[in-house]
Amino acid sequence: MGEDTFKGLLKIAKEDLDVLVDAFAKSSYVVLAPVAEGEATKFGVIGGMRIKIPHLTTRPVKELFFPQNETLFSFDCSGKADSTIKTPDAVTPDGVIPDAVMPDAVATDGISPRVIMGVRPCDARALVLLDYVFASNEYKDPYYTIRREQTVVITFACPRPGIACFCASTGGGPYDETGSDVMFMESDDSYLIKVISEKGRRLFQESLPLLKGGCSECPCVIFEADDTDIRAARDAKAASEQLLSANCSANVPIEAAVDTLGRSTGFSDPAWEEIYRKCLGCAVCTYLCPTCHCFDIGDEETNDYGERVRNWDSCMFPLFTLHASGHNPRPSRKERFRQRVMHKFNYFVEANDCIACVGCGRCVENCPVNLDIRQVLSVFAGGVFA
Amino acid sequence: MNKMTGNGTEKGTRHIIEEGIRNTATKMLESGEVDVFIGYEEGTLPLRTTPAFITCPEDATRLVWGPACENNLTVYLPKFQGAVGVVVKGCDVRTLTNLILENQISRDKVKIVGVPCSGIIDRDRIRKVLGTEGPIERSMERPVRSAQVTERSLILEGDGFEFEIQLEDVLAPSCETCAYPIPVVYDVLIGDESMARHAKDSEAGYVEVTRFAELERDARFSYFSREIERCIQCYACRQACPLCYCPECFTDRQSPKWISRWRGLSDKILFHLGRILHVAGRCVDCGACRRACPVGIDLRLLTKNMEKVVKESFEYESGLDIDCLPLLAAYKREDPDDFIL
Amino acid sequence: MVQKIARGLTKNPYVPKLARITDVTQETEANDVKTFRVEFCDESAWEDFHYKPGQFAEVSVFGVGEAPISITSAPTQKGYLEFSVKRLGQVTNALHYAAPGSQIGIRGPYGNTFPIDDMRGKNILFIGGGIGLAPLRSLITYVLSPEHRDGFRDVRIIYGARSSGDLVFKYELDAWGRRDDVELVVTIDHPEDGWDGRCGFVPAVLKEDAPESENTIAVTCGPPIMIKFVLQALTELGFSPDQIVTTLEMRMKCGIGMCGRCNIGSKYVCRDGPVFTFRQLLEMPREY
Ligand SMILES: Cc1cc2nc3c(=O)[nH]c(=O)nc-3n(C[C@H](O)[C@H](O)[C@H](O)COP(=O)(O)OP(=O)(O)OC[C@H]3O[C@@H](n4cnc5c(N)ncnc54)[C@H](O)[C@@H]3O)c2cc1C
Ligand code: SF4
Ligand code: SF4
Ligand code: SF4
Ligand code: SF4
Ligand code: SF4
Ligand code: FES
Repeated sequence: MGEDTFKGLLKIAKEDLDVLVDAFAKSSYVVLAPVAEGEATKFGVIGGMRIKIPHLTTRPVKELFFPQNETLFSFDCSGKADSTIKTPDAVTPDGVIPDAVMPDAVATDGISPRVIMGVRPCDARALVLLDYVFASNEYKDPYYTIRREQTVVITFACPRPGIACFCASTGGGPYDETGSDVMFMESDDSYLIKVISEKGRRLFQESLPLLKGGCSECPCVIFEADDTDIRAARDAKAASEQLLSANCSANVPIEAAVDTLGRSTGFSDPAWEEIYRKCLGCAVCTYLCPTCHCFDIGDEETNDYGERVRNWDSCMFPLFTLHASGHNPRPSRKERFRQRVMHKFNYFVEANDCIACVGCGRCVENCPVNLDIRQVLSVFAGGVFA
Repeated sequence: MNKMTGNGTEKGTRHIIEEGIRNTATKMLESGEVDVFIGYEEGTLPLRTTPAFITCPEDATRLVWGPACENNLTVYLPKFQGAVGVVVKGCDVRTLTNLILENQISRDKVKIVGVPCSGIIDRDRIRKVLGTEGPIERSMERPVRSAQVTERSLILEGDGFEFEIQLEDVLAPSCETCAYPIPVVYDVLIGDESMARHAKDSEAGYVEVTRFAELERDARFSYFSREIERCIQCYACRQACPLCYCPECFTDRQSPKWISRWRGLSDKILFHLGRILHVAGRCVDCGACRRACPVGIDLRLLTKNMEKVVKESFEYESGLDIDCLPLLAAYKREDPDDFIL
Repeated sequence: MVQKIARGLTKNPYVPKLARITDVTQETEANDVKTFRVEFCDESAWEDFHYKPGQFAEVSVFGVGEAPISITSAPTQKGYLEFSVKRLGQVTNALHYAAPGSQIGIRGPYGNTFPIDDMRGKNILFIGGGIGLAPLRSLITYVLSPEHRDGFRDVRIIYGARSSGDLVFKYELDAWGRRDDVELVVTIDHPEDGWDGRCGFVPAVLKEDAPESENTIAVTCGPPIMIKFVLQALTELGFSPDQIVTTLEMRMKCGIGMCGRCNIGSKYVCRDGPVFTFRQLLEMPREY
């Protein structure tokens, strides 16, 4: 992120945020933002609610692209008629796919474009990692890809990283733009807005004719940021980064750990024997991780109507690798814990040249036994966790 | 970084207990009585401790004690290899008793190190006192960066603020009404009984579930299904429960497949009802399941109610007696059968 | 109005092609292995179904699920596919209940192939155990086909099963045995009444026969324990790790490198395998 981070910024007063959201909605975007669900927060359609951006949602934004449950297609399995396979032809904003006939393909048409507000930089970066899995190989996952194409990601930079955050160690940062189409930066009573991608530009062009100077249709809430604003934003960014690096547990020696794990001895390192011991095998760390992408495929059948579905799965479950013969290549929590760490910090690196962790800290916070991935990495880096 | 322990100025009970645990661990490891000593050590976040598996006496100084020692460590005991010492609170020991009764660990393999418990804190309650959404260290307005525990209060610190909360105001719900804060079985009791919380009458714990039971049927069902709907079927509640040790849980059975991870509410309900029935007469309200749940589902609604049903029907409280038959293995002629359809 | 993403269809890798079972053969006496001959319902499905020996397909029984099964027929056999399936769990049981005429789904072909080009001009030694002959059979048929036989030198097949009742593809074994350009050895673990063939475990038979390693590629597939000892025996016979090829099995779902479950180290068995050389195996973590 160079000097031009702060060039050509726009500005909106915090209290006008909802006006902007209305403008997005008027130009036919569906707007999603963090919503509360019981004790937890997740992303959902806000439909008229006021936007309130939490520090980081409990559930990551990945589920808007790769939902926990998803119908791949449906079929008749009565055995009477020939099976007809129907794939869904549209994806609704919150990820549910209604039924429709579209054999052998998923149409990229008929899907409402969406804007997601209030994504944090770590979650946005995670989407780019998921792209490696779902959209960059010989096979592309159409369900994921379509949602990606039709979504504008508006990231809110983090003014006050928390103490479970360690994004900077993973190559990101509280102002990291990777994966974002637009970035909002807090500055006193306003947000400064940086339009990053073509998709972001289109969103603003469509929603805000006033950007070109004409104030006829929308109330005039967006301005160009002046030097004072930019100075304030720059200071806020420096302060945020300073806050993060002052927290010693946020400085995780990932490179050294990746190096150890990447050696031929990494897999059989004696540290594995001890490090997993308190793990309960509960999978919270993978279900809430913005980069975890493992899934299961199965059939659900009622009254001769069947659906081929996919559900999130986790390498922390014994069933994940259990063969029908009863043989299990990863028989205990030791192997399964190792798989999780190795996948993120070694296997993924070998395949894609980057680690599969964005340092969001969700696994740190939510592990019921406080088995902290940062500590695990520190052990492999040969050091002691601060 | 975050001090769970007493603030060092006075020798409070917490400090005494912590020293007691360390000394006991050292002794047990040195004498070879145990191969591993399981206790708590400092965690990596404010108000967090983490399970510690201590194998050499020198490491015993890592052990801590305080109101953040939330985990029920007996979860590690089923099928444990070797002799083990384990720190237990009043509730934890009752799951251990069950494990012994159910032949998951033999009594002579485990050294029970009981702690007179003054209650553990509930992070959700702290969050509510702070008025934040999400974990306390992720508060938008006041992210907590460190915490200190004194004899009676917590002092939370963040950028430019310090906030004191009385421990009594943020105790875990199970602790508030705990009837057995002093372990009912132990090999060693650290400190003395006067260091524990004042025990409440068992009935005190049922106030909430009783109130809930008095609601209209629809109101009950809608609350229940709203909670269960949010379940993401990670089964962390099961994994955290010491009594959920089945080698193959009914949820994991492939044929027949009892529970699907497909998005249906009915499957989720089936899971929760199945689980609660499987811990009927065994659950001790330790709260481990509820704390493990990443989306904060009100699991105590089920566990506490089941406990009440068992108590009222069979005059049985789980885990108090190490010499009886487990409730479900015992039959008495006078057992009520009015729930059998 | 927002500009819609250009209209277009994305190929959906999760949707199977409909196919029909045309023939079912009972392979073993215990009837736990059956071979299914399958034809696509729509002839045009062949247009993007080009496979080579070693590859597998995800076979669907609608309403039950999918399972990865090696294609045991060879691309030289046009118009149909064959799968030999051992009855073990949900999908494989459902398949065993399927009669000719039943409709199933096929997606694929997936995975890499046997290194056929590296095998040309060489002797080929096939070593199979139990149902492990299924993936080998595709390559054997290919190599022995009139179009390709000249491309390879001596062909030797060592195949074993627990008992004579557990041997699969007996009709094929007979045919191979009758050819003079194939050296076939069939062995069962223990002597049996009426069995006049060889007895003994496959690795032992292999050592006794001690085939020449010079200019030879060994291809093996079978139960893990057999593979383990076959690899040892081949090494003793002077085969280098590059001369030994095997296929691996891991639990699979997507077959296309996304669902994340079939990895051994950084290799996905569904995408980078299932065929690996012994050299590659030596470099991979022992987690299979
Ligand atoms: C590349 C490859 C080729 C194979 N070729 C053959 C073959 O030619 N003939 C044959 O009989 N078997 C073969 N298998 C094994 C076969 O896939 C399993 O026996 C089968 O998946 C069991 O499915 P199930 O639904 O009956 O069992 P369940 O126990 O009900 O399994 C549930 C699901 O788990 C997965 N699964 C379970 N076990 C395995 C396994 N061992 N390998 C992969 N996925 C598994 C499948 O997706 C399966 O549908 C092959 C496996 C692989 C990986
Ligand atoms: S591994 Fe943990 S810190 Fe890293 S991205 Fe996943 S949840 Fe976040
Ligand atoms: S990890 Fe970084 S990007 Fe994510 S919430 Fe924390 S500070 Fe923000
Ligand atoms: S959240 Fe913690 S206990 Fe649960 S599987 Fe992950 S590391 Fe293990
Ligand atoms: S069900 Fe919950 S409260 Fe009851 S013993 Fe298990 S973990 Fe403790
Ligand atoms: S821990 Fe919570 S979300 Fe997970 S299965 Fe249990 S109740 Fe559901
Ligand atoms: S089967 Fe899904 S990644 Fe290999």
